Amino acid sequence: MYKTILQHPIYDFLYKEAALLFLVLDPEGNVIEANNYAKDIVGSDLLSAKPPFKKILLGFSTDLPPLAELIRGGSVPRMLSLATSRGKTQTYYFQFYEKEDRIYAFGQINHLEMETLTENLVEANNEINNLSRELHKTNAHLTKLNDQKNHFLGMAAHDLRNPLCVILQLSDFLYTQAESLLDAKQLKMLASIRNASKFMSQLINNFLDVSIIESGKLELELVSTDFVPFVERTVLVNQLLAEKKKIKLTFQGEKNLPQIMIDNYKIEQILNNLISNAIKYSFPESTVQISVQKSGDYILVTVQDEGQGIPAAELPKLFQAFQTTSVKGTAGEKSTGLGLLISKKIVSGHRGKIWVESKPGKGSTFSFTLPC
Amino acid sequence: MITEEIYNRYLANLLSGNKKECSKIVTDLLDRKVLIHNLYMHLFQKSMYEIGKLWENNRISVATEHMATSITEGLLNLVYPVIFSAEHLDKRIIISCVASEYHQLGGKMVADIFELNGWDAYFLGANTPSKELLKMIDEKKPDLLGLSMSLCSALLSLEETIKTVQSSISKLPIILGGQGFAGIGKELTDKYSNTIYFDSLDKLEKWLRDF
Repeated sequence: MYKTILQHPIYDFLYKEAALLFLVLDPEGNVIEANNYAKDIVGSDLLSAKPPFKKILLGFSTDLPPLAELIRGGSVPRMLSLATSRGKTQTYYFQFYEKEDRIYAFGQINHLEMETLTENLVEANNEINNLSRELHKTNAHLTKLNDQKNHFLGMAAHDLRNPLCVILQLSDFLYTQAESLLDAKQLKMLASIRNASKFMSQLINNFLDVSIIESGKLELELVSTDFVPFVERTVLVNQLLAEKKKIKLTFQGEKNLPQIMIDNYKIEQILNNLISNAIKYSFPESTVQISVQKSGDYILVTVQDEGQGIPAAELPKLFQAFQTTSVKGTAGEKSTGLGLLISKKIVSGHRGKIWVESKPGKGSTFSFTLPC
Repeated sequence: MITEEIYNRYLANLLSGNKKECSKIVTDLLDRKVLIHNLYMHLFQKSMYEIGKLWENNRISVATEHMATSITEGLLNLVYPVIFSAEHLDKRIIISCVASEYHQLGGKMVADIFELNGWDAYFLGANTPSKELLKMIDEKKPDLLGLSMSLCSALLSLEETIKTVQSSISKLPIILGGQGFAGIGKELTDKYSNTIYFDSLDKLEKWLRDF
């Protein structure tokens, strides 16, 4: 067919080998001849006579221009998209020529467009890679700063603990031994020294705990424990604190629970923190209920109070460092803002979870789980 | 540790665009505590030089070369946790590709080697105009400037950059590197004072330790 127009071996070569879509159409738009490149791009069914040429073109609407209009456009390049045999869409610039009863369509890629696209992609890729490098660098710097902070915190807390112990011991001694020698005003001053020192001691111990945890050095000494008696003992230890504020502590433990592997000292730390918080934020003549029960593959511990509750907006930050709520201790007790963070880290170390539910004016329930 | 078998397997996967396999090979080497220097020299640099030659001899297309470069740059991310954890010496270098130089991988690897040796290396990326480079030099006050050129077609830009920098800051030593300097490196360092050319990462690292 093509030999009617291509009468030279060079044209023959170009027709067969050029990276150019060369199609020969009949007046109805059926593809009756195609070069190798066209067959490679569109697929071997290109010459199956039907469908007409315009059906292998793609567009966002079905109203593609009629073939006659395409032909009238002549050598003015017309942008048309094809579905390729690889399932992709490729845009070609087509030119049409009519001769005798045949229509010759030539389609080629806009190479300048492809080059620009490639350049832009390479540039975008470089930018992403460079940003990634900067991100890693900044991340490493922040990690170093965090390590330095933890190290400093640990050192400072450690060095402050000893002198503080001395202050506490001596003020305790004076308070008990010199009671009869001091007047009421002096005793009150001594009480203030003791209370402030106790608070500082608690804060320093919390700093040390946070420093250890944040440095990734939290080590758990897991021991098989009969959990209900363990919790019951901790509740008893807090009875005196509760009685001072005329608050009732109750405990309910499910029978026949399996022994669980826990770090006794650290879980006791969590229980003391949650129970003392419940007492702190509760009013006299109210009840704090502690319960232990099995929940699926976990042991569930809850500490429920009838205290002031916590506003919903403040709940998300509760387990973060140095976060205190707008709610204050009912007897003016202070908070270090670290107890819940430490509790959370210890529970996570045991592969458990800790959470809170609270309603202002009704009270709060702190719960945590430990795997069986 | 980087045997010929590992290298050949890596190169084959790199050429076929198999990023997943390349990543697996690099991760495996890192898990076995390969020296970063060896990874850079005997895997990344060696494979990219070979790919450059294949492209130059029309054995692979520019698309394949771009893909291999892109994969290699992505693999550097795996190494960054090690590179950026080195102790710092309070020395700074700015490394840049000159204007119209789009091959940035080599310059980036040099920046990483400096980081590994305790320097703070600021990498400005491909195609950096002289004006931007001067602004960064003024801001960061580096001890060294590094200029990368992969194709000698960027030579005019390179020389213009050297002249611009040296007319503002004559005392700032400039190190030069990249495949584009092959055959002309010594000539350039003779032409411009206070410039040093390194034809390999090895030689650069040895010099760096004594700087």
